[in-house]
Amino acid sequence: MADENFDVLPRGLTQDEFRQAVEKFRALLGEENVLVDSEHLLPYNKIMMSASNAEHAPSAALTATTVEQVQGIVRICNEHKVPIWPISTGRNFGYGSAAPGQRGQVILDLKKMNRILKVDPEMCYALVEPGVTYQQLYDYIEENDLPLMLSFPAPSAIAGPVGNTMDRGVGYTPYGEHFMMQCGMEVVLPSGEVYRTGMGGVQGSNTWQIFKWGFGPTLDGMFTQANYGIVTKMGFWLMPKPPAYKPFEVIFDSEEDIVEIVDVLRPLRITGTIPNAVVIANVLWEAGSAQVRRSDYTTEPGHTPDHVLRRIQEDTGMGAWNLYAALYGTEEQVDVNWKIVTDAFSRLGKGRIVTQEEAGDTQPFKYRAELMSGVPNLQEFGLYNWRGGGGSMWFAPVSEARGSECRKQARMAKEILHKHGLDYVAEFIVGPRDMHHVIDVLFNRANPEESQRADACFNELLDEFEKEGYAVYRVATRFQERVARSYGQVKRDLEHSIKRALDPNNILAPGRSGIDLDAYDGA
Amino acid sequence: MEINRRLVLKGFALGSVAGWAAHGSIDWLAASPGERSAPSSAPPLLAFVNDDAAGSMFLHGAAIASGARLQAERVDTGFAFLTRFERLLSAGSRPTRIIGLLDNASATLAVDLARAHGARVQWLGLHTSEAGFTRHRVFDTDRSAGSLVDLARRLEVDGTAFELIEERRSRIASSTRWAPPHRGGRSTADWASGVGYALASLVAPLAAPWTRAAPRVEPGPSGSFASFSITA
Repeated sequence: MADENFDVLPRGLTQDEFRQAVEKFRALLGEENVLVDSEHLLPYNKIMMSASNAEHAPSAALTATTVEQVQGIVRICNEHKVPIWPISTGRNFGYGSAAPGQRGQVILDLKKMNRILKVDPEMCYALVEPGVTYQQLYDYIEENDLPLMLSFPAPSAIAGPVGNTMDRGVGYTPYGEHFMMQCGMEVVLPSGEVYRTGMGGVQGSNTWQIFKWGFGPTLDGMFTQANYGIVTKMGFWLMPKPPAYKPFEVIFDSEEDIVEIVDVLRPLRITGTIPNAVVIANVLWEAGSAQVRRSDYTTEPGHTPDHVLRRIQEDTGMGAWNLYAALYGTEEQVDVNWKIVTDAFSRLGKGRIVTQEEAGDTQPFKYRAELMSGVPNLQEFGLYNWRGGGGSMWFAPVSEARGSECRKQARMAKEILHKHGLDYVAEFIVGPRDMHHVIDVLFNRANPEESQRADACFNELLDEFEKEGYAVYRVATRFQERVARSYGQVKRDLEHSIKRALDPNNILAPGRSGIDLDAYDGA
Repeated sequence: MEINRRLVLKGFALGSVAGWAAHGSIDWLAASPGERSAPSSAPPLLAFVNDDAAGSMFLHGAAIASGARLQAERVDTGFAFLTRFERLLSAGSRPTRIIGLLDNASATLAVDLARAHGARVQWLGLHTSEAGFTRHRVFDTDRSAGSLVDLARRLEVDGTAFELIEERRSRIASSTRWAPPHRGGRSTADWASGVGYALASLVAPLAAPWTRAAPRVEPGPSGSFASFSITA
């Protein structure tokens, strides 16, 4: 392999230096686990962002099967200053997919570390490796007839709990705040040492997946949305499957109704009457998820006008806002809470309540009901066909769960998107006090002019929201450096001090959340 | 063909391209030139399409290049497809070639499943067709570059209004762009056939020469699509 040449190199490395590292990777992992040819790397390079694929081209992709191999990879990367970009299942669509944040980074694909290490049906937890998918876990639970329920994001079948939790993703059940339900990680540090969080460091402990905090500083959070370690095992709590489950939808006809929806909902969420991560989806999110396409209604360029949105509402029965929630527990508990919920919406005097019996198998009710009860599906992929063209970037500012705030954010976002000729395709995911205002910025990547518009639009969304004191909780790799600036200099200095201490060679995912020793000059 | 892969292929709702006519949606394919005999040693070529006009046109072009060994599968984002495709990807040792022209949602799923199973991908394309103008953005490799150039030539000869951009991983700052002056007044119907022919040609070096034998679809299939070539 002495004359092997690579068409993409890691930042700062020569052909010869990278060749030496690749040879060591091959010796450690075997030839078949070191991918360097362009045909193997092309699918890792498929992005949905407003950037060229080449900007996110990996130089290689490695697959590891053991913790020891991950340690060995880290050792080689330190020796040769090779930057690595770990992925678990690589299904973070809309936030960067499987592609590395920076050109030339070597992907460390943990898909083959896919063992379900333990599922405890009495203590209600699981311990898994990073390559485990939700579908795999769901099948395990079904095959073993365990009385447990999963929580997952919308691309549920193919995504996995480790990746989603590490990116602080959310689901739609009462356990929908996934990082909150995480309990115990095993992390390979940039030094190659293996660190277990919480009770995991105690010899013989059987409470690693039981008690989160352990003793002294609790460090789990610093490994999420970060580049301080590679998570090789993660525990998380599972919800007992309830004897009764009642999903429902409340349909609202006017965009302005968002104020009252949120203000009625908030006390129901804070008191736990409605225990799950409620969704309030706008008409275009609903339409896309139900396989409606923009071209069914208009082929005019630019944003979809309001009169078309009203026509979609009339044709489909969808609301301007569509609230999905569920009740869980015994029949008696559900009955009591159902009365509280229906009374609250009755007092509001607007909103049509739809039950599962009324909805039957119609979409999007069916897939929402499945998500809220831990049944995986792929229905929301339909959003990619609303406008088509393969572009999707999620803009996800955090909002107070206060109606006036949600209306303000919705108006701002819609105005900016329309200015750039794009659609406001949005949902609010409702926590007790916060809302994840998730907007799918959909655009045509085949059209360079539209890609540029989407890029400008996304930057304007970030800028204008920041002026109002809003910031996103999660963002595509292309914008992570920009978003990191929103959170202030002191935080950035601290993050880079930690990075310098843990990863002085800057080998682990440089650029993740804007943390990059080679690029940062603020400290 | 290895036994387990043969069984997996049987699990697909495959039809010979001509067979699609019997199912009603692609009625002109029965008269397509896709019945040339192929060497028995040739690996199967699967074509994934949606049940739409673009899929029909794509199959027509692919059939010209690949002959009788082309087998077609209708695809969506449902679990049935997910399960079958995963089984195929992990089934055996002999390569299967898969080409496709799908809606963006189905293609996103198909390509990512291929990545997760370590498949080789020669071509990823995005295509939109609207108001008589087509756009194509193709991310390709050295192996598929010739087919892309041929596609550009064919589109140009047809006189359709189009823009075609080729991206390569090795080129950070530049891409190749074809956007000939529009001569006006022509259908854009052939672009999907052209993509099908280009992708099938990647594995059929003795492909029959391109002919526009398909009946014209006026106007051509509009909307957004994604194409791919995968070796599993």
